[in-house]
Amino acid sequence: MSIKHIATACLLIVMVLLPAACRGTNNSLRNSVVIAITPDVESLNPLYSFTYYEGMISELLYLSLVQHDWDFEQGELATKPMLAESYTWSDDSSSIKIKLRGDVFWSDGKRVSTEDVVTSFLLYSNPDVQSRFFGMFKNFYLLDNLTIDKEKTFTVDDSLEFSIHFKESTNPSLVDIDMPIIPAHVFANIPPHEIINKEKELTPVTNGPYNLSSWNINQSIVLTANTKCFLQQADGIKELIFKIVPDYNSGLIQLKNNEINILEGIRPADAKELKMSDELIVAPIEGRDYDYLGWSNIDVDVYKRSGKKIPHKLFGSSSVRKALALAINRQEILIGYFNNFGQIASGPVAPVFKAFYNTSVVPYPFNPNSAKMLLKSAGWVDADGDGILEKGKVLFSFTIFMPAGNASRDFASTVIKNNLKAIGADVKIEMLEPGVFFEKMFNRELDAWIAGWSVPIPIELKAYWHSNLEENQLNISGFNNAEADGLLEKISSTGETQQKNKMIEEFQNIIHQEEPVTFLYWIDNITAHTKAINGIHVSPLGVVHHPWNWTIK
Amino acid sequence: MLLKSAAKRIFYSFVVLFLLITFIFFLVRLAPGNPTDKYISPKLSTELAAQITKSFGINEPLHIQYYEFAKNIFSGNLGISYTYRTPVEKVILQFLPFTVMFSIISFSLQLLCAFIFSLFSARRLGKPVDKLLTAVSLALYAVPSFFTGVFLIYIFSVQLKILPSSGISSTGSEYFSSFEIFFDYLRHMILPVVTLSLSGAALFYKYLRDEIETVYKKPFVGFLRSHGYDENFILRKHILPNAAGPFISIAGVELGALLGGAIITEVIFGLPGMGRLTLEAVLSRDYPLVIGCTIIAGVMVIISNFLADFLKAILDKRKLQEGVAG
Repeated sequence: MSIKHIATACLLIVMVLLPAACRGTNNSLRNSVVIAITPDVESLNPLYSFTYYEGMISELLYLSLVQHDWDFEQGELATKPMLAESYTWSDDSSSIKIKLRGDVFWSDGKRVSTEDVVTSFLLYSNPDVQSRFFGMFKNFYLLDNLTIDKEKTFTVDDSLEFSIHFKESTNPSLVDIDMPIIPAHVFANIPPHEIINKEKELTPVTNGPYNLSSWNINQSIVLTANTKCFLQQADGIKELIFKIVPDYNSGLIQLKNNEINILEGIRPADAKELKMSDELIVAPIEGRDYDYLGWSNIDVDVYKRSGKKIPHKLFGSSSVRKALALAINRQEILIGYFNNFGQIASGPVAPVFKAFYNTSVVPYPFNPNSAKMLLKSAGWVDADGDGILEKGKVLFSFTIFMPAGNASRDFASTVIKNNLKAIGADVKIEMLEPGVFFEKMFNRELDAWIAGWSVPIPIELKAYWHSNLEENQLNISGFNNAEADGLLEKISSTGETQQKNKMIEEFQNIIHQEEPVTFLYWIDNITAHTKAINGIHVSPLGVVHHPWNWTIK
Repeated sequence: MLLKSAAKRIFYSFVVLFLLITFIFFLVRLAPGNPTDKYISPKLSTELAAQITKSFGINEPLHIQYYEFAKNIFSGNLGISYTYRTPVEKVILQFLPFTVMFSIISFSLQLLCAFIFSLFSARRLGKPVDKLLTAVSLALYAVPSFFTGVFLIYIFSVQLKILPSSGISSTGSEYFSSFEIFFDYLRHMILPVVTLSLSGAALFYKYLRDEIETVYKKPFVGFLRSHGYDENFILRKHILPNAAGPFISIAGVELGALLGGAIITEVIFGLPGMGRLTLEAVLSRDYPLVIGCTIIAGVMVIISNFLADFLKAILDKRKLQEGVAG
């Protein structure tokens, strides 16, 4: 075969491909919305929907007893019935009587009944199932293996009415019953320990406002509107397409090309350009995620050896930790990297929780001189004039660890290092592969680190700040304050009341005084969506929230 | 002789493969990181992480884990993926066909381009156009694929808007006819295939061109010329077969690497291939899946090299007499 023959063959190939190449690439928004998600999901079964995206999609397929909206005025969840038509609490709030809607059916035609609800709760709480809710039923009557005690918990009146009885001396709320209901007739015949490996083989039987139409691994998940569902409107979106786009830049290009209609997690540097577009709305979701500079409050070696909590030689004193907070110019990071899409943090309660966010707690200002004075009062002085503080023979020298691959933390670490050097600290920054970093962090092997938390709704504080470190593994810094412990215990056992809100406000005061870690900033989740979609209300609950209320202009 | 050598080669390949997965088994378990870290969250109870650790079997001593692993491997059981919660072989079968097809298309394109341009250069050795092609090939080889990918996306997806930037099918392709699905698929494959192929084609071109040049300098070529043999005949019958040996060796290695997965290209273009699967398995510390992906990559490298050696033996009868193992 000569070169001419090969060249002719190549030309033919190009001629065949060219017409195909010239087909349009845009999604024309024909009553469908394309939503970008970064990783593929592992499961759409509510039993195993561990991640944000899994939860988001599975909750469109399966109804819960109640649904939530975000009350912007009060800054808290507003809960109303969903699968439950109505509910009534007993006078002492120890039980709740629920009446289910009679017009909800599974996708295989069976009517949703009390049996489905009871089975769902039993499966979620069964240790052999390993569901995401296992161990979360503290307010229920439980058997020794932590499964809900069916006899004591449920009273079934008929196929649509039942009561749930909660354990004495607990404060149950609607959050305790807020979980997607799964079909009893599908799971009843599978031994609980086999469900985890068999659920992928089962055809999804759903009852939500959308049906699963297709799932191409690592490509897309297509949901079509379940027109029989009471939530759907006649002019609602007929199709939701979750497109897996692992690369951020590729997602951005597809958003601009109208190949996708909704993108979350936009970098602040790109938000400005997107705002100029006539076709897009850029909306930040006010932050529930914060970054912090963690300090080990206790000597971890001693704690691991003897269980005793003695103050860390560098960060054990609240004066030192306050000084570190005063030394860091958080505003510079917020402006320099985040373009002001966020706000400086003063504690672990996000400002979006207006009902109990303590506005009287003001973040420590950037004030290196005050920082130096506080350090001096704590005994840290530069006695030998080498620019590094020391206390006796102990140098004020440490390494801050952080997970690799986070551009904002890279930026922040440079500012932090320079700021701390200016007050006499000898600081090194070391990046670790995320898996390595988190293992070391959870094992309390780090003295100083940069990480972040996402505050769940409803808010959870005890897991992060109670000094019982065996039970509360997320208290990585080993914060240890008896007054705070007392408040956290009361908060956990108090219902949603003004009194509870007051206690949370008081807790923020204690945290501010102790400054167990340096709270850096709340980060807005910047989202962009096509203007042609009506009805998107970006809230702390996310951008894809109640899409059955959306329409196309 | 040939069969015996081939059997010996296959046996040693399996031994190497088993040693490789044993090494990976200990490496991933001894490396920091824990597959249950993702179950530590305020939204999950501490009891769940303990239950999952128990079900993964990673609370057992390492030697017991290895005994179970080796027993399962020899019975053809690769275990259950921690992430997908299905047998590893099932997970791999969802990703492998795409990778095989993607690699073979890219590999063929690399060979084709290298062959065309090497022959073109062979007739113009030392001339400006040959020097230009050599310089361009070096430049293309040096450019990392993440840059090539992003550059091509910028030109063809952002500026010209004629090719999609991600995925293997368009939104709504389920409503297309078979013909449209085929061309939609082709359209999605153009940029990834070009991205993956450019540096490989440049490498192959450089190897083949340099080998051709080396063979041209050998005395027997002058002998053939002095006896009046046609240049095309010399090139086809003597230069190319002699130059092909080292080229085939390097092609075998490249094919094996391609079949193991092209991580960067797959991530940039959102393709469902083995590279991305392997990366995700490593990052999530999905031990059984990491081992499964390693086996596939190892088998692909072994098969590719075996094929390359076999091809070399066919082209060079002396090697055939020595046996495929060489």
